[in-house]
Amino acid sequence: MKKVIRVISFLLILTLCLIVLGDLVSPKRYKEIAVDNYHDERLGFYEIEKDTLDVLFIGSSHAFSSVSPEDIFNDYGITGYVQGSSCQKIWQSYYYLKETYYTQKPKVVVLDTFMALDGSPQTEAFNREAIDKMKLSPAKIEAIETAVKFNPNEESFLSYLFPIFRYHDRWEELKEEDYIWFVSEQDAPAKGFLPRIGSMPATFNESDYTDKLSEPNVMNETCRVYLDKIKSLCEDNGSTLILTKFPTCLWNQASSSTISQWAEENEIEFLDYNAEPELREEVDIRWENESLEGGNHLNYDGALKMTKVLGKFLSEHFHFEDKRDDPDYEKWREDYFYYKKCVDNYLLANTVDCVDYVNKLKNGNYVTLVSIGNIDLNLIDFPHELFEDFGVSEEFYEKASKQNNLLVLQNRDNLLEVIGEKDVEIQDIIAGVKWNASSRWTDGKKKFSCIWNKQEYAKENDGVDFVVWDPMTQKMVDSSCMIFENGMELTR
Amino acid sequence: MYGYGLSEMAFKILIVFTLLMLWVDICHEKDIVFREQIQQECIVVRWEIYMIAVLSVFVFGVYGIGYDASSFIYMNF
Repeated sequence: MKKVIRVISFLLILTLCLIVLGDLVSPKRYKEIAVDNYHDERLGFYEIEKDTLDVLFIGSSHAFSSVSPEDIFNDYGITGYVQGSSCQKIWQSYYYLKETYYTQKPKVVVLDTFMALDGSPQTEAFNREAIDKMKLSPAKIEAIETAVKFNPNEESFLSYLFPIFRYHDRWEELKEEDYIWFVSEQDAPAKGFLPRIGSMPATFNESDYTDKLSEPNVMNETCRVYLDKIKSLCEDNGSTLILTKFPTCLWNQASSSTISQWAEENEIEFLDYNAEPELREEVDIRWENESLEGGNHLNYDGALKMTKVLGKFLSEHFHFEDKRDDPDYEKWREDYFYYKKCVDNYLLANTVDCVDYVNKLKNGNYVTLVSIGNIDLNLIDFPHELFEDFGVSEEFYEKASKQNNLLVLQNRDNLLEVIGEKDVEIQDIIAGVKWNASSRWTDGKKKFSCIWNKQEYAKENDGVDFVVWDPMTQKMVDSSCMIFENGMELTR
Repeated sequence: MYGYGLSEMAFKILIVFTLLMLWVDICHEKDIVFREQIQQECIVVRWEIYMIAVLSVFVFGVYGIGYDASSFIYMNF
């Protein structure tokens, strides 16, 4: 008996080690996300308080690129979450829905139908994205079984259960971020939404939808089965199912008609923001600058438009309690500001216009360390009004060209000017961060340095150097240099 | 320097485990039997050794998708 207990204990510890190591070597996804790098929105789903979701959004990248639940919360006090994954097949949507009901009772389930007609097997990469981060549950087991059933020669049940068997090769690629992510608290500030910055013009062809006679396609049997299952699951749990097709240039009348036919047969509302002119006009996507990559996904601006319309629809057609002032939902409020700040930080770090940049610094509650490098401000006719709102003194400008200098800009009431003929430094805690900055004579020239977390943030350019700290997200969000060779330019 | 399909890290691990194998062989030549030595240790140390051995194989082992053992064995002959 003692031996059996020992064997079982050994196997349990081994299993635990395999799970932990599997988590460590698993790829950390969504690195390009504008919202915090070290957070995974999927894992953040599990941090949401039980029975607090009003609406579940579910579907492929079209779902997580088109709806921002936090913006709906900010506008209407409705709580929502996007259980999305890239190219999410309809069966995966079903398992996400099933998983959702373990902890939540959403009144409304919004399913985007972009992939609802695709019954082909899923590639391993997308399966992994969808399944790896699911917590162990019957829904996950079923999702794995289905994934393996479609690709029996390429995927194995065991490697989904223990990702170490799939990703062990990554041991030599592990970076600091893997360990940071591994020990960091998981959160979902954007509630599954992926704000995507940037745009590529696209052309929306109305002609794709003018042929009203387009016959519906025959729905793939797998898709029909899982759509039926989703409908039944929603009914069993008292949720209203709504189908959508968020704006995209990759949709057509035949697909729309196929979904419409199923929706009519099952008495389910289908909001097609492409095929229905009224709905399309309500969202009013400007495809020349509100599409991310030429018509497939909406970018951040497009998503905000879609979100406004969907939020309005939900608030008008269903009764939800407004939770904006409910202290139990304070976290949702905080997350809204956090996610918006993350987007602002991303936009700041991509700003190239100098005046716009300083305005963003001024309005964004940043702490900015500035040092005037080896330039003569008088010769370049530096616009003093640029830092006027921060209250920088004229004396500073007079001396800064010739002397070592450091400026910490926050607002008019919190300005720190350090200037001297010899080397100067700041070794103080300001706005929650320990600054380790200096301006020193090196080979007869001023050399600016700003080290945080063992990393040098100062740029080596002869101009006005900036290092920007965001107290809300506790991050260095940008380091740049304003140079004056051909007018005023910002370099990074 | 590491241009023959083996990365620097993999090469270092290879050296470490080769030296370990050499050391064990030398010990065996000197009639030191590791199995007996390990069995004399307390359960914590023993299990640590077992775990490290098993997990090392799982982590550093060359297996999985994209790896075909037969192509390695026959070296495409």
